[in-house]
Amino acid sequence: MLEETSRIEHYNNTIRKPGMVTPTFSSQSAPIIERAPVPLIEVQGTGHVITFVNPAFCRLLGKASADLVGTPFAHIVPGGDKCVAILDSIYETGEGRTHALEDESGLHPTSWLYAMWPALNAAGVPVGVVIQMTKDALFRQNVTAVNEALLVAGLGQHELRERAEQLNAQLQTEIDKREQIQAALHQAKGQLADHAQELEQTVAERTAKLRETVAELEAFSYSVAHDLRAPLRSLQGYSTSLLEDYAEKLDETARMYLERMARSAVRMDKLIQDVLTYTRLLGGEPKLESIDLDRLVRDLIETYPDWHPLEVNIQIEGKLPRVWGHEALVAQCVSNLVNNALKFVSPGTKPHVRIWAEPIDERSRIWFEDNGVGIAPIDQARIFRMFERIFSENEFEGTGIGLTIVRKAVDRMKGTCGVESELGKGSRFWIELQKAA
Amino acid sequence: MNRPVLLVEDDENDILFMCRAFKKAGIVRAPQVATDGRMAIDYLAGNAKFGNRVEYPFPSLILLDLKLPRVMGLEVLKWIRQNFAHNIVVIVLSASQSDADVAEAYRLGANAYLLKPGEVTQLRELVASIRDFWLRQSIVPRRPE
Repeated sequence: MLEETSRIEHYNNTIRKPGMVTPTFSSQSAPIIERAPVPLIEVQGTGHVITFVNPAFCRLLGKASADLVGTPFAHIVPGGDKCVAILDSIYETGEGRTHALEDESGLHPTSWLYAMWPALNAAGVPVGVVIQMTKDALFRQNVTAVNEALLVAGLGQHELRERAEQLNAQLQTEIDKREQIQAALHQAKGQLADHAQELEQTVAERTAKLRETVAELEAFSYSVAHDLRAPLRSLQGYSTSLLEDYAEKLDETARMYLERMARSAVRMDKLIQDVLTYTRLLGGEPKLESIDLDRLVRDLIETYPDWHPLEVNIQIEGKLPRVWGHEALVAQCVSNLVNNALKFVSPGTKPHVRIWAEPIDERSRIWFEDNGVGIAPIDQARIFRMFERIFSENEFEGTGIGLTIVRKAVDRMKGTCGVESELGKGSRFWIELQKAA
Repeated sequence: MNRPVLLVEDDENDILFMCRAFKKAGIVRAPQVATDGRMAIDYLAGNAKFGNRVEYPFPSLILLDLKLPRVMGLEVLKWIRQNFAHNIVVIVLSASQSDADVAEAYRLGANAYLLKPGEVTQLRELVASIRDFWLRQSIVPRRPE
């Protein structure tokens, strides 16, 4: 106890400074606050002069105890003057007070917290005030900033979440759309496949139908050949038989009627045969091969009974080339063209036919020139058409199918045909076929 | 010259013209006639009345139409080659110019394929050439037993 008293004396001595007219107080709280781990200070009197500081307080302000004791509190701490009224009130009320001060003057905004309570004497009367000071970073602002930051962050988060939700929704829409498109695509693919299959089926069906039609046509031709020609042969046969077997019993008119009947039947039979020849050209795809045209034409001329050299003059100039074609079709063309060339001559003129080949690029044009009656330019397009005839039956016999057969036959061999002629100056018919090795 | 000929033909007009052509061509013996494919086979097999070979002599030449009732000409031809090999001369006489018919007839062993002429005079010429070639000049197989 004695020791304590001496220490206070020591303090009192220490804070006493020369020239200062401050009353001397003895610290009431020194023994209690000396070792406190928080900055504590004691003030007394109306001037609130510092009577004691603990080491923690000295560390807080970075000042020595000697510089502080004896100085009014208002002078040593930031905003100290604001504390004066509070300190005054503590004496009046005997109650502790707190005070916070925001100091934004420094580099780092600081918050000063003052907790102030009275030091009472034995009678319970305040004789001084103990102040605890806390210095802290300006947390309120920090809190505000943090709060704001949190709010912003929260808002941001909200916005972000909304945005994310929007994006998700958009994404979902896109995914839905894509799925729809994929489904549509899948369906389209399926439909396409179905269509392709349908198409193939249609093609197959049509091909089958076409084959059927061709087969029917062939059957029809066969039927025509047998059933239509048979009664004609009978008609012709009986009229001829009558003429031969009963000639002496018939007068001239009756004989003429029978002759005409027979001729009509023959003509109709020829028509049917020509039509049959033509329809045979329509069915099936002719297999094309290299044809020795020279040999084929010479063989035809030698074997054809009506082309006897005594009656007609058929001349081949040079050697005819090999052509790409079908032997039967080429033979059909040549015989029809030569027959025409021999047939359409003025009465009394010996038919003369000249045959030669003219190379035209990859093709060969085979010419058949005659000394016949010729064809007027206006008729030249007509003569290749079915049943088109430019002469009457009295002038020249014929069915009007021969050149139609030629045109169809060269067509089947991927060739062409044509005519050059002038009325009264003969005709030059030609067929053009691909050259062959 | 007096060899028996079997005409397989269903058209009565054609039968009449053929018989007339035979007469005109100086062939004394009129052709035997079968009016359908079945009858032709019965005739050749000697079935029923055709067993009488005096009245129905075995032919050395057959003129065969293709389009026939009951059994078609090409079937008759096939039956002939299966039963008598090549010991009978078979001449197909048809209105058909079909390549398929011609090829099939020769494949089955026809000795010739002739087209039915449209005119009686041509038929007479045809019969005359058959007479000369097949009945006079050709040596044909002996009648099978």
